[in-house]
Amino acid sequence: MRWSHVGTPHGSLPTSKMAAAVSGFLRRTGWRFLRLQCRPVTRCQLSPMPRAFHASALALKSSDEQKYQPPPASSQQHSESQGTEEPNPESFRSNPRYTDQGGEEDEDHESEEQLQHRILTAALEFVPAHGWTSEAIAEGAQTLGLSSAAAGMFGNDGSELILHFVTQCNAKLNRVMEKEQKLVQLGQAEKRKTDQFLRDAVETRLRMLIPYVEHWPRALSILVLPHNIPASLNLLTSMVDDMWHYAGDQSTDINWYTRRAVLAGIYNTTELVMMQDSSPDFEDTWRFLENRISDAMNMGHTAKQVKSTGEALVQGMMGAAVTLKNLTGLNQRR
Amino acid sequence: MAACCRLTRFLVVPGATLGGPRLPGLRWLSGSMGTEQAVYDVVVAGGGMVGTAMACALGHNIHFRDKKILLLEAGPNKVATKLPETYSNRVSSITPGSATLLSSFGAWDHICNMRYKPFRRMQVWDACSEALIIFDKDDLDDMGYIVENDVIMSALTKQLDAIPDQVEVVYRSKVISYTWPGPFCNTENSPWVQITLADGRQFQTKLLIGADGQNSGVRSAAGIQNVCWPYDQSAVVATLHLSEPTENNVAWQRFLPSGPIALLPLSDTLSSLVWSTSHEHAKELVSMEEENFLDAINSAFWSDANHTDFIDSAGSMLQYAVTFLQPTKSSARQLPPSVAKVGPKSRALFPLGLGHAVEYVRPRVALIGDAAHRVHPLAGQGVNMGFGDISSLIHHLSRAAFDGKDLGSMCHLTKYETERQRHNVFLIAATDLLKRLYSTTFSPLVLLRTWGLQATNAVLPLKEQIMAFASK
Repeated sequence: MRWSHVGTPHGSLPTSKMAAAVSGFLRRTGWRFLRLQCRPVTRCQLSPMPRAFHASALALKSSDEQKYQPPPASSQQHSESQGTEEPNPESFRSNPRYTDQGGEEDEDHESEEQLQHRILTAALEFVPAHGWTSEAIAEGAQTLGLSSAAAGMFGNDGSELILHFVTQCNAKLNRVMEKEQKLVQLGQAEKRKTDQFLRDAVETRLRMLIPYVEHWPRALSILVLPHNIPASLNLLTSMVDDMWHYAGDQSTDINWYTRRAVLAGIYNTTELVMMQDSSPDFEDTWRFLENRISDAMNMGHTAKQVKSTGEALVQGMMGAAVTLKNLTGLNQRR
Repeated sequence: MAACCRLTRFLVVPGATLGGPRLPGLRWLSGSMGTEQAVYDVVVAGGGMVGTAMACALGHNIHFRDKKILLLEAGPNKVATKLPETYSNRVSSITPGSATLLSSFGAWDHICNMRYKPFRRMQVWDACSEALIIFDKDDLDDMGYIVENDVIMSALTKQLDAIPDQVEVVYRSKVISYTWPGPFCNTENSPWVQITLADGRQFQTKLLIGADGQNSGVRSAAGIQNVCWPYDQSAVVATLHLSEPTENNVAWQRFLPSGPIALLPLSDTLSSLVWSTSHEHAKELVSMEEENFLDAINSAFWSDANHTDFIDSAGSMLQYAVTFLQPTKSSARQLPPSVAKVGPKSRALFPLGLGHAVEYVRPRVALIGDAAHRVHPLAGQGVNMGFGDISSLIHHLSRAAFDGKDLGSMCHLTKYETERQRHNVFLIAATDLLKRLYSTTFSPLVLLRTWGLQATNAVLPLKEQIMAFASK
């Protein structure tokens, strides 16, 4: 066998036949990590360095891993899955995922994304201790049995961890709101008024930050870094949109935008207040939130009043103009 | 001429009982109308004081001798045949100008035969200072007359009954719609204004005069914009018995911060009260015990509670200056009479507001009276402005009738509008300004109005101008 393949980090995509041959050999030698280099690059965002680490991490992991039958080819990957449907199901499978083209992943095998997801989820419990840093990710990876070098999969500033956390919180919030909506539809719960509903939704969402509130200010500052803004903005807007959706908003005009903008403002400011709050159980924050929501409700009324006042003023001015015309005798119409 | 008139009337009212063949060429006059409809020259909508006076004035006008006039009143005929013993609590102050108008068609004589009270002088003073102003015409001529509204209505109705040929009066005629002709004449539609009553009757008219009060249906049907706002005040009216009989030819008005209180003479022993104050206070006054009510009135006229030393000294300072410059003293300050009794069941209240119709006329429509303007009673000008509208409109319509013009044409209606708006808008604005100026106890404004009142009192020509304007 030619060993030249081993040395090439990326190399061109090998043909499946050759890959199969190589993988077979490598399997026999147990050097599974080399197989990964034959894996088609499906995740472009991973920089070269982390990929090497990834490979090494997986190699180290393999030693602890329970041995499964190495599938000879992708078509046999199905049989493997039965044995691994348990707590660590998406754990690393030593089967190569190189395929013909397109890199389709089998559903039962873990994708890289799912792995990252797991690592980040595990890392969250170390955040109170280490902050939103690679250390926390490393610790999390270690609890999953991976090397701490797995943290190299992610960037240095902890953005992925924070974004992952925010995504998780939003999903949790969605589940809560959906459950409540089901209850209302079934008639088991009262439909709440809009301001009450929004207040509870924002409070629920902010309470999810409580375990991490110490390091959250840093997380906020990381979220507004330029390369994170698209993602964080996306998360914020979709959260606000969901809140309004479950609150029952069905507007189709400019109100759609103004409502979401206002709620986003309320959420952000309340979050900032929460960072500074030292009262027991964040009472001040919830009071602040209540006041802002009632302000927002009043703003709607005021806007209507201003509009009607404006209209009345215009009417008054037109009346004055006509009266002036009459007084000066310019009213001699045709 | 008479034959011509009869022919005209025949043509205009083809459905009349004159019989005779209908001329085929004139089918458009009758055919499109459906049910027969009388065409009037002028229809006055609203039978209040101003509406009835308008109909009367038109009916007695020499140039309207051959014209048909209709007066529509939504309510029943409320005029009593005999003058009641007790005085009514709604009175109006009639200026000499209005009296002239009323006498032009003979209603004033009826009023004189019933009852009225002329007054020679008017004293107006402030509650927050010693400043006052006294209007009098050297005690020779009457400045104005206080007449009950019922007496005026009765006199006007008597005069209307004297001309049944010219003026037709329909009571209980609630109007449900007015329709105006389109801008262009065509053979399909009638060129006159259509009026539909609640009971289905229809009239057509060449000129519709809206005299139907502050919530005018004519004004809203014509689409004329009305600038109005309510004052936060209600006026309490009552008939009061004075403690002792006096000559009682002075009208008293005191500006309290809550609103002006006025005592108008009705007879040697009776006066009429008009007290404009906040809604809550007005309700209190109407429902409180008679004793408390009288105490409230007396203290309103006599109490010095709102005086402040600063204002008093400032006022007396200017007073010294005035007496120094003008040694001939103007009329001395008099004290208002005190009241002893309230006429039974004579207390009532009504809300106050301001209203101004931006346009008084539209093609074939004219507004007069409260439909065109609504003012605070502190100046006693409300009905007088309406009578002024009548004299102006009569003047223009009379000219138009003499010239043979179409009565509903805009050329003379706009002249009426310009003339009256120049007078009325100024008066409405001045009254509103006075009301706002006198409803505060804020020292700079009190000082301003104290000095202003004293200065106006001192300058005789200015006072005469004011009196002349208000008497028109």
